[in-house]
Amino acid sequence: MVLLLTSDNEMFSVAEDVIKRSAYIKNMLEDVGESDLPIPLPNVESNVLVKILEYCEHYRGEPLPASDVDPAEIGDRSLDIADWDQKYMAVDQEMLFEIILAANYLDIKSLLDVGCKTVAKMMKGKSSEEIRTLFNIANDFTPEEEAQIRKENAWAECR
Amino acid sequence: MPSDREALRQRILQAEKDLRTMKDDYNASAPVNRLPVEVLSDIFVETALIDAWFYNSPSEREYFSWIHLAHVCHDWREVVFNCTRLWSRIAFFDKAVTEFMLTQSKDAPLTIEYDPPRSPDDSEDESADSNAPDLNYITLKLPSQAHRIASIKSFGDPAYLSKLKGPANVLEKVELESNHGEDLPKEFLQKGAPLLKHLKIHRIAFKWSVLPLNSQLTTLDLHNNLSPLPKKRPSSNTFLETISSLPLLQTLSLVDYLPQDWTLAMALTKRAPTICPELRFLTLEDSSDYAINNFLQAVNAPKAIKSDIAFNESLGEKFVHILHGFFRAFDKFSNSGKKLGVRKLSVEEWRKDVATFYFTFVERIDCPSSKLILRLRKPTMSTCAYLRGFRELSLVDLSPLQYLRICPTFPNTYPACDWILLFGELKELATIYVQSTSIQDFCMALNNEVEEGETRAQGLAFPCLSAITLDQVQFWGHPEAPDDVEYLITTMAGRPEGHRIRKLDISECHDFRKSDYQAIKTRLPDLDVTFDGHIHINIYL
Repeated sequence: MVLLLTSDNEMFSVAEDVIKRSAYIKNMLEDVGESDLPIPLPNVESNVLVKILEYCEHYRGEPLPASDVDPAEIGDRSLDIADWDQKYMAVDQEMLFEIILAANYLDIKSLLDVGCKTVAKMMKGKSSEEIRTLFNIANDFTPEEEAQIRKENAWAECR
Repeated sequence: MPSDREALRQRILQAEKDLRTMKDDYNASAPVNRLPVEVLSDIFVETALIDAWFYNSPSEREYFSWIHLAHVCHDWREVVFNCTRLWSRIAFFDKAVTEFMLTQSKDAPLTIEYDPPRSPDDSEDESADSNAPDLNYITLKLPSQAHRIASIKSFGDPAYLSKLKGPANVLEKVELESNHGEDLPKEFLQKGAPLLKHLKIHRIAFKWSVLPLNSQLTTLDLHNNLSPLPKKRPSSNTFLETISSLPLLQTLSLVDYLPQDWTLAMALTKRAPTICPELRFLTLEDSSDYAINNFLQAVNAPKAIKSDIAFNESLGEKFVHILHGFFRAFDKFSNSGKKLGVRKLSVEEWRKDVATFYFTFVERIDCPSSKLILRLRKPTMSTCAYLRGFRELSLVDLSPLQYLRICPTFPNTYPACDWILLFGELKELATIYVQSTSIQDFCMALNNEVEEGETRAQGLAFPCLSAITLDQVQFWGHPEAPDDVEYLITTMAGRPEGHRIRKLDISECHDFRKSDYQAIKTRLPDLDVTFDGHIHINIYL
């Protein structure tokens, strides 16, 4: 078992084969060897780690790349998100971005990919104004930038 | 300026400054903006990929619609303009944008997806944008970027690639397709593409010697199924030399490009098999007699895990011999001549166009279980008749079969005698999926009846069967005999203890009602039965 200490001082005891999906932890275990000391995760809170462990547990024992799929057949499917992953990512925005941050920090590439695709799909078909509303962002452009933006918009719009 | 007016001006400036600061703080506190720049860049690249997939053509303005990400806020704009991966997937709807993207992408490897106009008239189409780069521009522009093109994908006449000679030192992927069999310019990449890993050419004519092959290639995908051009095929010697010079090849897909000049005897006697040590995915289809079998005799791929082979049945009487030779050659190709047992078998008929057999073989010690998809185009027999032939000639070993799916096309059926002959005695067969065929024949077989009411002398049929799925199966009523539901119930109830069916799934069946489902549940209480609720009643006049 591996001990993990979150930023809010909660201790988690996790099976090694579960948490080794994190390249960060895997490398640390390989470098340090067996130890009773917990691994500090100063960038991850306990409620987020619970979610991360749910992901790692679900994919426990599964190889990361789909080795029996012909790469020539993957093509556009690489944009797809598996059903389970979609349900897993159905959380509020705060948690969604915490998961992505933790996946980035813990170096869990598959989870980071799913997170990025989820956010990309949230933005699909939305205008810049709609994206601002979606993510609570204010329009902070200067008048000069606004003029340039109008020009770029003309490029992308049908005539 | 009066002092009170100046004071107001200062207040306005301060207010604007305060507003900008507040907006900065507000945006910085947005959860999405806590993401590091590299992650936000990844998200933007994913967004652009969705747009590229959705709009498909770089010649459409919408292909560039990801630019609105730069219009959300100041921080995002910086990320977008500094993310060279976004700018390196070049758009071709406006020459100014193409030039801007080439500049903005700096030295990043380029992705080129360009569909040339089918004829000079096309480029004068009224709907075409007058600012769009013309063919001449593309033809001249691409060579200047050859040093940083990572991927080329094109649909149409590849003549515009004649000046792209290379060297293309970062080019990894080439996909060229057409529908008209135009020639690949012989100059294309003749100065080399040393990192090329993926080469796909469909329905474009070329001489084998001009292919930009190298030892890094992992995917070779050549299709000539529009208009067979026998003179363009390689000789067997050239072909085998090519294959042996591609030690990293993982995916090989050839349609009508196999050599024709070798004979089976030559392949068998004069050459040791050419080894493809990393080949895992094989697709072959060929109109030439014995071409596929000769390939399988001449090449050995110990790591092959999926082979998709299509024959054209129009070969007539020769076909039985070809199929016979195929299975022997396939065993040699994938497993050094050892026959592997089949763990899963799925059989499908698609109208009268194609019969498909999906074999999953038992696991090998050093390799995961391999799959063979055998497609017979324009079949002259039903899949049931083919399976009888496979059995008579001992072409496949079904003894370890655990899962079976049968899906014929009306009016083809699997008579009870064939169910029993082909599968009735298999000792490991636990799951049968029956689709679009007669339930009555299957029930008779389950009851070990060859003809109606005639029970075979030997023991129990399907001794290990525990799960059945009935999908789109027709249930009939019979005025002077038990209807199919009753027959199914009595058949399943009649199986001895220890050999009972444990699970029954019923989905999208015809003339199967809720009352039938209730009857099964009531009279077979130990059976785990599921019904999708789909009720499709046929009305016969």
